[in-house]
Amino acid sequence: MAEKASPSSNSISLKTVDGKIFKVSPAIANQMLTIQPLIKDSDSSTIISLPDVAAFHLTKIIEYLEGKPAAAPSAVDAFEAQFVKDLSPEELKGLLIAVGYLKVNGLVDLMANTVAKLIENKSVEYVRKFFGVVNDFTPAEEAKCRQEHAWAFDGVDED
Amino acid sequence: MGEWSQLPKELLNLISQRLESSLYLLRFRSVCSSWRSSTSSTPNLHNHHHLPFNFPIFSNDPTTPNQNHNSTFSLSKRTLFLITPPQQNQQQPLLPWLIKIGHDPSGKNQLWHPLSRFPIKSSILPSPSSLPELLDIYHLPVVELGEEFVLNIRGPPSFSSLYMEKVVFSWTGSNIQSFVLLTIHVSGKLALFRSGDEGWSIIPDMPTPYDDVCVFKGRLFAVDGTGRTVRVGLDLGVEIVAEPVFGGDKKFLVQCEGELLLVDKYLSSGYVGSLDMLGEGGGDDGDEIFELGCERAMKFGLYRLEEEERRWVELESLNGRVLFLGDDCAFCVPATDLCVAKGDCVVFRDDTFNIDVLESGMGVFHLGDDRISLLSRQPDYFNLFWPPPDWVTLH
Repeated sequence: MAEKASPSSNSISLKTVDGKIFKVSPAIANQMLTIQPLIKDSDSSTIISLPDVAAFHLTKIIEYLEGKPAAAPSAVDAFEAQFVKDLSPEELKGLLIAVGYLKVNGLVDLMANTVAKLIENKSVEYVRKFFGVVNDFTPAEEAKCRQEHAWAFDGVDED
Repeated sequence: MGEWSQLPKELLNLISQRLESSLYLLRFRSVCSSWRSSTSSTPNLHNHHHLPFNFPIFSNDPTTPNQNHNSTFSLSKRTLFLITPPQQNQQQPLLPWLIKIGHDPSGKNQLWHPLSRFPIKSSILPSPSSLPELLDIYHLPVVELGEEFVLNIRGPPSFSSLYMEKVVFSWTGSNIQSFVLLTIHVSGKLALFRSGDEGWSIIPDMPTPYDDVCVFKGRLFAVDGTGRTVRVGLDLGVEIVAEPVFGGDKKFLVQCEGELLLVDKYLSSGYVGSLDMLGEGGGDDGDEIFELGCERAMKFGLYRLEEEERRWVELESLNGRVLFLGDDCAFCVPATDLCVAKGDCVVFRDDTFNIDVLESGMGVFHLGDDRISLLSRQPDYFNLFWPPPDWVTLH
């Protein structure tokens, strides 16, 4: 890890796909594994472009990296629950793509978990509707899916 | 929207890996072709064959636990589901159905009593056609509430075919083949089996015989009759996570919404018929001869683990949840999911000889007023169990 310097002197400039520039400290930028190699060679005039990341997503990512408590697991759980609480499916998706692209420490897991939790317990139709996914299976594939969902019972014990 | 199907495959794969059951994975794969192709293998609802089997059996003598018998254990898994109605009709809300599904020792798929070790027998069916032979859950929202594992003894018929203690199973590490089993030996000590081991290891630590074992957040826990709770390591070490609470007679560990709960059951020696006497101001002593020897629940204490303080903290409510206490599996469900009015109660089953009547020995303990009522007197809870609602077979 780099030595402690004042954030302004060697902050990293990140440019989102919608043209906004964010200045972040190396400690924050270093947790985005994809851009790590670029940070070493950068100086204060370097601007790193992030093609898959919009300003909204980068704001959230920085909020996560700066706000995540280092302490007890229970505090982390509470912080993470709050962090994902009000995200719409659209925001979730964008954030998932952004953190997947940047490989943000801890946040990839959290986003994947959050989506998984939304899917669990739901019928297939509900999931399609919620995420706006079109059923593109052929009738034969569809039948196979349905077949996988059926429990067959060999009857009950006759005593 | 619409691009959820175009998410990078590795992200879809990551999401699919976070799904906690093979049923949920199956659902994931049925959404669209890109979601389907992002997961490598076909999960199997009947994933009997993916479970390890053929473990050495252990003997009752803790000093030579792995005597060479000509028998082995096989492992089977049963899953508790809350199957919820496809569409809610405003006039007459449809109620969900609580059922346990899994294999019997011969590998046949069976319906099981949700809170007991016994399969549902045809004698309790209102009519032969009322049992679904095929349960199609494609259009039904299904909640997986919990799972239980059972060791079946394969071998000479002189052995009982079922090992009667609760067993917990956990995959360990990223290696798909690594697993661990934890159960309670007849001596009251903990018995642990790790993949690759030649035999079971009996852990010597035992101030008081152990009552229950559980997997919580991927870690193994065990509680003894006093409530003293330990975390069991794969290295056979035990670490105390909570001091005793003493109190009642039998302790259970239950995972509930990310917390570990302790249920303390107070028993009274009584009779199967005794539960039926509740609320009726007395009983029929004539039944005693046949039903002597069963213990029934008098009340329950509930605690939440405060891990940092290494102690159990008594709970006065379950925040509107219902706790189901089964023989091999205990689980919590929000009252709203069950369409019951209030929650904050424990649905339990006492040992009973009358195993073919599903509600026999079953009761509901209400936390607020420490009152026990018969399951059959609580229609909203009673109807969750049996028979299956019409919509399960009608759609």
